[in-house]
Amino acid sequence: MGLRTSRASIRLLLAVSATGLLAVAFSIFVATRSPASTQVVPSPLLGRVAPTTKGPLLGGGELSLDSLRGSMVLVSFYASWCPSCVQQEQQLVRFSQAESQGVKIVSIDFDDQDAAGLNFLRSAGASWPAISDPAGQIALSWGVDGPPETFLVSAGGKVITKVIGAASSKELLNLVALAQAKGYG
Amino acid sequence: MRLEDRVSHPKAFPKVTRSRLYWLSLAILAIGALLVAHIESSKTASGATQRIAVLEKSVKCPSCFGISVYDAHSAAAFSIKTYITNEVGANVSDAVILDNLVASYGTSVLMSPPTSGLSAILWFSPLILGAVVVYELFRSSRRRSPELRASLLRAPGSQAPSPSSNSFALSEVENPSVGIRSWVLVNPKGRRVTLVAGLSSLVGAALLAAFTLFSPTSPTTSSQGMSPVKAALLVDQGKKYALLGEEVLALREFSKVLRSNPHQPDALTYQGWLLYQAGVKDHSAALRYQGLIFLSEAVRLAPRYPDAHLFYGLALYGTDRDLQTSLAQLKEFFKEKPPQSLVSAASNQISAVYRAAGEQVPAIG
Repeated sequence: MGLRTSRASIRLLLAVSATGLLAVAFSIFVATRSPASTQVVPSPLLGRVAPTTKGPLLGGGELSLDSLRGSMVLVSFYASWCPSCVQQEQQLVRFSQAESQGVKIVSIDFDDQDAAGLNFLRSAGASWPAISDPAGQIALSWGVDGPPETFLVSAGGKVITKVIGAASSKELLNLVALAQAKGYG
Repeated sequence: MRLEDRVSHPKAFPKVTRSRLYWLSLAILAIGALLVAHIESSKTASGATQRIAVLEKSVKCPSCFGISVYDAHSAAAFSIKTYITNEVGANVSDAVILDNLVASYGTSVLMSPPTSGLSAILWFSPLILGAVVVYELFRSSRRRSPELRASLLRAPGSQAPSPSSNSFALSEVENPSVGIRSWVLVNPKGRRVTLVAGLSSLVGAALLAAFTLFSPTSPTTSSQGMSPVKAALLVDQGKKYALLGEEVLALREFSKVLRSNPHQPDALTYQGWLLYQAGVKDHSAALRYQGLIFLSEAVRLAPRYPDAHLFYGLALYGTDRDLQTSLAQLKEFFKEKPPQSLVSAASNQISAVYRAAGEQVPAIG
């Protein structure tokens, strides 16, 4: 009887300890995780050739991403109706000023009106080209959930990184440096 | 048994026991559920509109929480809906459409996980669980103590079975139905295991049947959420608030309906129109576009609803000055014989579009 009771107690103790350990591990995971607003996240596109991206530019003309092969490209999805895109554009402007490796930036105006999208970029001080994507079909081919999202494309045209949320200029510079160190430049 | 007896007496029909009845009814339920699922899926595969609806229901809205793009109104859902509609229009197969979406978003974009790789565990886990339960039942039944077996075979007041009748008694015990029943009677743990196994089977079968019978398979509005009468009352209330200039209260009423049934065309139309107007008032492109999304959804779901065509046409003209599309929507509006009150209320805006196109506003008669 005594033996049975002690066995039951040990089992109970083990079950409680295991549950406690799981709870602690989950808390640590949640506490140390970077906020969802800025995360480098997996994407089925990583390591693959970037989706065909071609369209009319806001303000006139046309651009194909293929024409930028040979340089690393930051493809940034934004919209004038997206509040955190304001911060994103400011950080991209800082990045473009600090960056010295010839990385190009292309914005994609997602599900937006052309005039509003162009005004938004100009007021942020952005001078790079922006492709109009009013029906969100370019965004769909890149697997964009919602702006702002940024992709780093290698000089060879492969998708290297996907960042969701408004990434800081420092984060972007670090990503470019890492990509170059790994030979993607 | 003599050879003549075997020939003259055909094999007796298996005895109907409670356990056999249970398994038979379970099998009938499962086969019935599968048949209904098959019939429903073949029904929905016909017609482009239904094909689009089925595809939209099988793709998860990437920026929402666990709902399909069919039920979602976000920008990403709108893009996927547009993509599906275009691809279905171009006669691309369902498999290719889904493959392309998976190539962009990963398998997480599918409402049902794929049946390969690690996800297969999800699909086969009920089977594995069932097998474990059956194995456990079998194993536990084998563990019965000989004393219990013997006591079960003895009727109250009777003698212990003689060695001569032992073979008969043992064969009776080995009969699975007798064995499991007796084991359940004397073994409290066995009762629990049988109860769990039985309940799991029943709940599983009931869930399968419920899912098959009640899962929405076509864009009908009446079967979902609140009753159509209550929805109509709320929409009417919302319209009254809108007429009184209480847009916030009106939006609240329409939202109540849409929360319960995201495809209620009245609520979609008026919610869209109010959002569009709020966007015009506040110079907000986001609100205007949000309104357009609602309106285009209403037109898609209810192509014979004149109000949706009117508001969508006017909003298109107001947002993008898209004269041709706007005019096409207004022509659809007039084709559906709209009420004179609605035409009069919007006569100035309708005239502006027709004037810009150099055409006469059709007469209502």
